[in-house]
Amino acid sequence: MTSIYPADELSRFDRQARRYLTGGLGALAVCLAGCAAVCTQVRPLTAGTCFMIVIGLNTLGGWAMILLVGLGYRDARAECRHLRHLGNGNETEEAAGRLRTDAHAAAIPGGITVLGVRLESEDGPAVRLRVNARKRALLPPDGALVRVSSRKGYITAFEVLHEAD
Amino acid sequence: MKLIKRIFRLTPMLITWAMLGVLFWGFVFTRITDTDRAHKIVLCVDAQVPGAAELETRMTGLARDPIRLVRVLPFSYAMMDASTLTDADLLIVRDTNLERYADWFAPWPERLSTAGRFWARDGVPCGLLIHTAGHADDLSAYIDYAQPPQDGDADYYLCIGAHSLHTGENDAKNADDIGIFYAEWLAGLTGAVLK
Repeated sequence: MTSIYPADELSRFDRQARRYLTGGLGALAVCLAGCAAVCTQVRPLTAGTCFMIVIGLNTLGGWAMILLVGLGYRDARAECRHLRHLGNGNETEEAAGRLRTDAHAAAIPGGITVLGVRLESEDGPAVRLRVNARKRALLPPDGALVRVSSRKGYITAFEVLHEAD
Repeated sequence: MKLIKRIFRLTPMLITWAMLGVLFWGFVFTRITDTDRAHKIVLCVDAQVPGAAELETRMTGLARDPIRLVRVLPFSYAMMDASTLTDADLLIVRDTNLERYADWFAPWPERLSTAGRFWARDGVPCGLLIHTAGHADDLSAYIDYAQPPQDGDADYYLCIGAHSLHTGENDAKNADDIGIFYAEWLAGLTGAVLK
């Protein structure tokens, strides 16, 4: 079986989240320090220019923080939460069948984006599972006969039994 | 495409941050560049003042205790804060508006009203002629007397604010007469005769 979650993935996302948070807050802190420095140089003749510089710096720092935290940090935190969720408990299930993935992914609010997966077998009902949308590319194309290992409804490892026709 | 969509979803937060920044730093700059009436001289001009910052710098350079700064504001500033006009230390007023704003003027000190052309109210000199239509003077470098354009150039008078804290003769409680000092300085700049 090929695992789709490398062993160091949780620590990697943890580090990534910290980097995004530090980067965002750092950018904001640097820009606000710049604003404070400009404020000390305000004179009647330069007040207008200083004000524009301060507004520019404040906006730049704030936007950098919002984008880094709102995009990078939140994603990394969501992946961490997902990995911790999978890591709590060892009950692993196995299933086999022809792989069919849903056309559209669904984003869990504040969490990762998941894709619905069906494993269709000829001698029983289809098994419904989910897979982290970011990991879809690791799975074989639709139609392949696979055996998968899952935890809490999420595919964690797979083995291709027969390629898609 | 997905990234653009996600950034678009953050747009309200980005706009809110920018707006809050303008409000916050506007407040901070007001605190930095302004002070209370007891420590500043306010000159209000009944015309556009494109050189306000330069004139403020020049006048602030002359300041002495307790004055820390001088503010030069056009009358249109009253849209932001009407009390700034009524509490002004000095006013430069268009001749056609003198009657309209007459309640804001204090009489000129007697020692200074013996020479020069004055506008008088009930026989009391309240405004010193400092700009004659069509003539340029040192103050014309800072004040655009021909604004608004539909009214054209006109005569302008320098008046002392009735509620000023810096014109000793207005109010016996006030110790300083720095407002009068600045009035004399402005009159000297324009060539108006005072003594």
